Amino acid sequence: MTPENTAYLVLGLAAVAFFSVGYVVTLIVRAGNLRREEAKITRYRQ
Amino acid sequence: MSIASLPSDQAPVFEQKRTVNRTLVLPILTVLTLLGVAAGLYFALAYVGTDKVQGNVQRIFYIHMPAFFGAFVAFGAAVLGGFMYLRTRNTKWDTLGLAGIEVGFMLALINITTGMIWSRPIWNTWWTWDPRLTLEALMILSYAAYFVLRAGVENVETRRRFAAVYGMLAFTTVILTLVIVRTTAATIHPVVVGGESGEGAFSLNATPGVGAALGVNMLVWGVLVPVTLTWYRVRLQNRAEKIAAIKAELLTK
Repeated sequence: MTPENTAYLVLGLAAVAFFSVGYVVTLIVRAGNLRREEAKITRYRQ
Repeated sequence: MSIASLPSDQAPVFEQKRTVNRTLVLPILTVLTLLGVAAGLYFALAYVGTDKVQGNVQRIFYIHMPAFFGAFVAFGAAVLGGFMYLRTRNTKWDTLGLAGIEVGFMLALINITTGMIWSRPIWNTWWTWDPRLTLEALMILSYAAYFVLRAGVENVETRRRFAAVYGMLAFTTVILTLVIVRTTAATIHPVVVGGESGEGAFSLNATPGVGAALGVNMLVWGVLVPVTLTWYRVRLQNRAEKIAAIKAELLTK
C-alpha cells in the first residue's frame, strides 16, 4: 500500500523555498544597502 | 582616443552591440532560470507518477539530488577561482571563489534539509550517522568555516590567499561525499546513479518519466540556478569592492 506522506513533501518544498528565496532576498537587501552607501559617498564627494 | 574613452553614443556600432548583448545575458538567464524552476516543479509534482513504495515524499528527490550537483558546480567554480587567483592575483578570481562558495553553501543546505525531511517517513528518523550523511554534514561545516576564515583575516591580500587555498582544500569533502556510497557497503543511502552497473558506470536506473523529471531538474538546479546566482553574487561583490576602494581613497585624502 502506498503511504500517505504528502505533508512531508510540502515541508520539503517549503524548505527549498526558504533557502532559495531567502538567499535571493539577501542579495536584494545587500544590493540596496550598497546603492544607499554609493549615494551617500556621491553626496559627500559633491 | 581609445574606444573605451568615447561617450557611449559615439562608440562604434560593434562596440555598442557587444555591450547590449552582454547586459542582456543575465536578464535572459534569470528568466530562463525562473521558467526552468517552474518546469522542474511541474515535472516533479505533476508529470512523473507517484512512487508506489515511498509515496509522494519521493518527489522531493527531484530537487534533493540536483541541488547537490548544483552545490558541486558552485564549489567547483570556487576551486577554479582559488586556483586562478593564486596564479594571477587578479581579484576577479577571488570574487568568483567567494560567490561560488556562498551559492554552493545554500544549495548544500537545500540538499541536506530535503534529505532529512525525506528520511523521516522513509527511514523513520530525521538523522542517522550514516557515512554519506556524516560526510555531507562535515562538508557543510567545512564551508561554514570558510566564511569565518574570510571574516577573521584583516589583511585583504592574506584573506584572499587563505580563502583561495581553503576553498580548494574544502572541495575534498565534496568529492568524498560524492563517492562514499560507491566505496563503502556500510551505508543505507540509496545509490540512484550507477547503483547496479558497477562502480563509476553512472547509468541511470530509472523509468523514462523519472529520467525526464530528474533530467529537467538537473539542468535547472545543477546548472541554471548556480550559474545565475553566482553571477548575481559576483556583481554584488564587484560593487562592494568598488565602494570599498572609493572609501579608502577618500580616507587617504
